[in-house]
Amino acid sequence: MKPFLYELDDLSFDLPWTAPDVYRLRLWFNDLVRKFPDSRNFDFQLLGDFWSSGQGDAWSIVLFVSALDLPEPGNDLPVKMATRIRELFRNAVSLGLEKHRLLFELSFTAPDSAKRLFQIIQQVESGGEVPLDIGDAIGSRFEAFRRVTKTVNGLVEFEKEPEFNNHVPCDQGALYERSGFYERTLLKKAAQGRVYFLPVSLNELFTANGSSPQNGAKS
Amino acid sequence: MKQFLYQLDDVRFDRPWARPDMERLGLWYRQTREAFLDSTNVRCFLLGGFWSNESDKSWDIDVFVVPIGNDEGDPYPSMEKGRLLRLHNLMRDGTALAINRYRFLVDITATTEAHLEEVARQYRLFEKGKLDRVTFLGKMQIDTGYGIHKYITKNINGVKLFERTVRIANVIELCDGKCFYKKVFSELSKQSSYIRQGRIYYDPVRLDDVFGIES
Repeated sequence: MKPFLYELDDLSFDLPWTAPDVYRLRLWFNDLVRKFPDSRNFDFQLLGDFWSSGQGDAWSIVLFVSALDLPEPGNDLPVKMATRIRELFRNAVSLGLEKHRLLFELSFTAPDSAKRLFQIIQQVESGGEVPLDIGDAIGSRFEAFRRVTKTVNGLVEFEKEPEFNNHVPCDQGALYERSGFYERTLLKKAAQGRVYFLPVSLNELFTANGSSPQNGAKS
Repeated sequence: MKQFLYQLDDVRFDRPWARPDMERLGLWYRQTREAFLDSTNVRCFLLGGFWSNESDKSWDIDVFVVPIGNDEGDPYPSMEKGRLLRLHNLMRDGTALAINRYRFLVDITATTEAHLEEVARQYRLFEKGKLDRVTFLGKMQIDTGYGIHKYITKNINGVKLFERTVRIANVIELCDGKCFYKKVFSELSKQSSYIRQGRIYYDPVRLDDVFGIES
């Protein structure tokens, strides 16, 4: 067994995560809603590699999170609201890693950002050009963590302090606005043939008629 | 064509099973739940190799049933006989349904929720390297719960591939030869090796939660 350590700013986790499946995503989402009632005020849009034809290659789950009762993401986000979002993200990521062995990548965005990104993906699939400024095209995107470190057997496998454009202060720490690196990676894969599915709200995915996931654990 | 025979005590199955998957597990569970669970008053939990990051390597599914209201200790000998019989039927008919209709093997054990939590806790400590193997095996050499089969045999083309007599700590006799056998956890060295090679066992989870069924 390899001693493992994953750190996100001041949070640290000593159990490795696993390749995601839809069944554990549902267990995580139900736990999140039950344990952190404020999460009910947010919409979680599933997108990215795990929600694509390359699902089997995904090692994390990307969610764009928005809230109707909050202003659009931007530098003028009040400290109190930014703190609320940051707390939700820290709780959600900790729950995923500690209990469900899933890695989540959460971004605070405008409610229509996921669909705007999907429209650009469709343009790229049809041979269209990638917009020069992704931020303008899909809107601002904020994350809760500034620094990421992964250590296995005492050796640093991965250490990153991703660049950010702006940040919104919170009671402790901040929310960091990311540049379009993730979006450009996604569009590159789309251009190479990966098919991304229409983003879907987790609420819709898991509560509509009690339907069961259409994909999930490897069989 | 291969002649297949799988035998649990005197109950025989002559159709081979296939590797399990979540879709068939869901179909089986919904049918089992509808037919038995209300009257038996149990919760069903999923764990073991199929509920791990190596689910595709598993040939069976471990399901643990926990009678509601029996959360600690060893309550089964004192359970009301009618309820024990219903639990026995659930375990027998659930196994038969999985093999005959959904073509997968399910291993059903009756246990307590406290036991499931302890198993998960010890697995985590071992995985984190906070328990060495000897200590882990020592701590986990505990009774795992009750099964209803004492002998398991598998034949293909008349050749015995597998035969096992469950190690038993205690027996509860019901009637007409029906018994609960308290099994002793005997495969832990195998599981500890899997963990050391990278297998990650997920925490036991209620099947209702896995399949989004409102309790």
